[in-house]
Amino acid sequence: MNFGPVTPPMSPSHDEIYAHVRQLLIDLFEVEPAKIKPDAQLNKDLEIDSIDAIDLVLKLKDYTGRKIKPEEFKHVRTVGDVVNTVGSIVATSAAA
Amino acid sequence: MTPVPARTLGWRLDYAWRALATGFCFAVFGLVSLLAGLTLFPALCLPARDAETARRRAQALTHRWFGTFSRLMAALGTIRYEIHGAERLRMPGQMIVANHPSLIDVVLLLGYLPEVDCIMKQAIFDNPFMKGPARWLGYIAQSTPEQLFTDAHSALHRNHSVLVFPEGTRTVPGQPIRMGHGAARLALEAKATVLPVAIRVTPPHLFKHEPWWRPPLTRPHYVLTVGKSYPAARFLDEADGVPSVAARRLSRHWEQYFAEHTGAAAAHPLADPPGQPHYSRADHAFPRKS
Repeated sequence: MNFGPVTPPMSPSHDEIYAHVRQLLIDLFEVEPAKIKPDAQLNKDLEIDSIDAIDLVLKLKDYTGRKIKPEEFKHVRTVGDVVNTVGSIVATSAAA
Repeated sequence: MTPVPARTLGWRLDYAWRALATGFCFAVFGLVSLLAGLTLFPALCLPARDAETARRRAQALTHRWFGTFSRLMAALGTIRYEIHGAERLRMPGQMIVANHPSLIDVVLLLGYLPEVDCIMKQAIFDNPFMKGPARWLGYIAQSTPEQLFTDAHSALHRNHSVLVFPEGTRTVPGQPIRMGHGAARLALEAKATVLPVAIRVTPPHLFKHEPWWRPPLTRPHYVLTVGKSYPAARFLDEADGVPSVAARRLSRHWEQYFAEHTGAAAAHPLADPPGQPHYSRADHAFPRKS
């Protein structure tokens, strides 16, 4: 068993997170790939409503390996916001 | 589009009469509902041996009153209405899904539905006039998604029919029918039998932000068309069991179905042939001297 210093988990880059979120949107909601842009609004442009967002957050929980509180996604409006939020969750859990 | 009527004296009298009669009907509706909430509902429901009996009595009472009210509105010349396939509404345990063009569509529909649990906005349960009856009736509040799902699921499980307007609010005339994915999720999760009811009213009547004292230029005609029921699970199978995809497809299917059957604009124009616009502002221009 290794009780030595824990090597920090590999943090995915911004681009890797974006690619993952993009793929989730396609697989979970059949969003047209052409519509997915950083400034695309989840609700208006991609027709992802609050109930859909629950599924998205669950999948992102699997991805980050960390519990995500609904408050953390409260101010998320665009695809870019999702990526940034996931980025900061990954960064804080890597620092912890 | 309804032809614009000539502003004859006869038309002016009819217009004024319809505005007045609508006001009268609404006053009667409010008064009777309030009195019934204080007298008839408790008189019928309190002696009931259990909540289920109380609910059935309250729903039967509402059904009769709404049927009477619909006939009153028609008798006074404020509306015309007809329904096709009403017998299919009486099958218990269905999830009845309707579009929501008008304030009174639910009144017309419940006139044909002796027993149904309606899903309603939380605001109705907070309204002092409505909350009493809504409780007796066993209606389902849209409080949190979790609570709504639990309540609606258990209603369907007890073989009650559930009525839902997936748009969540009234359609804006000329705007496409948009349905969030909540109702579709519920249908899929409960593996419900879906019964669509398309409600068409020409010209648009009592839509969102339209006051009762400004009726349309011609008498509005309601046509309620009850479709054929189908299992929601069909959409889950077609989406390889992924509920988020199935819910999206089912919602989109409803948007197209209701657009086709009511003449409303299509939400996804590529999927539908361009149709005759259903609404024109001319239908609602306030009458003025020409």
